[in-house]
Amino acid sequence: MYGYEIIKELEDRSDNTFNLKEGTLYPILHRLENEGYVKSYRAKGSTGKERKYYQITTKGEKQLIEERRQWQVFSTSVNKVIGGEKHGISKI
Amino acid sequence: MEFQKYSDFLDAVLSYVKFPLDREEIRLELSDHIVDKIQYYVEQGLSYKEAEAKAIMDMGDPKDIGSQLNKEHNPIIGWLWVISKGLVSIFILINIFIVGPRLLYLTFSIFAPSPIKDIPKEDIVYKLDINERVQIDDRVINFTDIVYDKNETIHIIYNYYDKKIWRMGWSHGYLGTIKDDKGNEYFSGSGYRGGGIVAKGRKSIRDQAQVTEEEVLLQRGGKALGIFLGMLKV
Repeated sequence: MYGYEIIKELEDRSDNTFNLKEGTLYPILHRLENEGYVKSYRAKGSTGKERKYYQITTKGEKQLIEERRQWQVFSTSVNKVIGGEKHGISKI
Repeated sequence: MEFQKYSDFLDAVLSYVKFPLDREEIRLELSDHIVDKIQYYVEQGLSYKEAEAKAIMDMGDPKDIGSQLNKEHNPIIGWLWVISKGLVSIFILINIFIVGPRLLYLTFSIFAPSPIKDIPKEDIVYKLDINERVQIDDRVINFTDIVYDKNETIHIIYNYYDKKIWRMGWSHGYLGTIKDDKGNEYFSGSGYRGGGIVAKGRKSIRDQAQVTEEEVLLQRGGKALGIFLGMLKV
C-alpha cells in the first residue's frame, strides 16, 4: 500500500470519523520503517505510476499482536471503570 | 498559512528537514500524495485550482509534518550511515585491489611444493628433519630440513615470512644475507623460490663449508641452529 491508499482505507474503515491531517501520516510511516515494523519499496501500481509502497514486516506483525493485546487490556479497564458494576456510574 | 501551489507547500515542509540526502525522496512521496488528492477533487467536479487548494489544506501544517519528518531523518544518523557505506566501499576496494592479490599470492606460496622436491631422491645422502625457528627483526625463518647430497652439497630448506604483513608486498622470497654482530655472514648466495607472505627457499652450499658427516649428524641431537650456522661461516 502507498500513503494515499492508506489514508483512503483509514477513512473508509472509520466511516470518516478519523479526520487525520494527511501529511502527518508520513512521519509515522517513516518512524515505523526506522523501527523495522514496515519496509518500503518503489513500484509501479495498476495505473502504471511509480509510487513508494509500504509493507508490514514480520517484526511489525509481532508488534501488531502486542499492540492489539495492550489495547484490549486498556479498553477492558476503561470499560470496567465507566460501565462496570464495581465502579459503575449507576451507583452514584 | 495558505499555499497557492503545492510545490510551495512542499518547500515549506522540506525546510524543516535537515538531512539533505533524504529530501528528494520525501518530496517525491508527499507530492505523489497531493497529486492523487487533487485528481480526486477534480473528479468530484472541482476546478484544478480549487482542488489544489483543498488538497494542500488536507495535508495539514507544514511545520508539524516537517519537524516530525526531521526527527525520523536525523542528520547525524544519516551522515553516519552515508559515511559507513562509503567506508564499506573503500574497505571492499582495498580488499579487492590490495589484500586480494596478496591472499592469492599467499595461498599460492603456501601450497607451492617444498624446494626439497627439487633434489633428486637418489642423490640424498642425509636428510635431517629440523624444525628451527629463528627470528630476525620482523622476519621469522623456519628451517625445516637439511639435506646433504652425494655431491657434497648441503641444502638448507626453509620458509620464512614477515611479521609485518603490510610489508609482504616488498618481500620477494629472497632471504638475502644474514650476518651476526661480528659481521660474519652465514647465509648468502642464490637458490630460492616462492614469494608473497610465506616464502620457501633452499640454500645450497657446496664444498666450501667442509661439513663432515659427523658434523651433520650432530644436528640429530637437536643442537641449536646457531651451531650449525657457525659451521657454515663463509
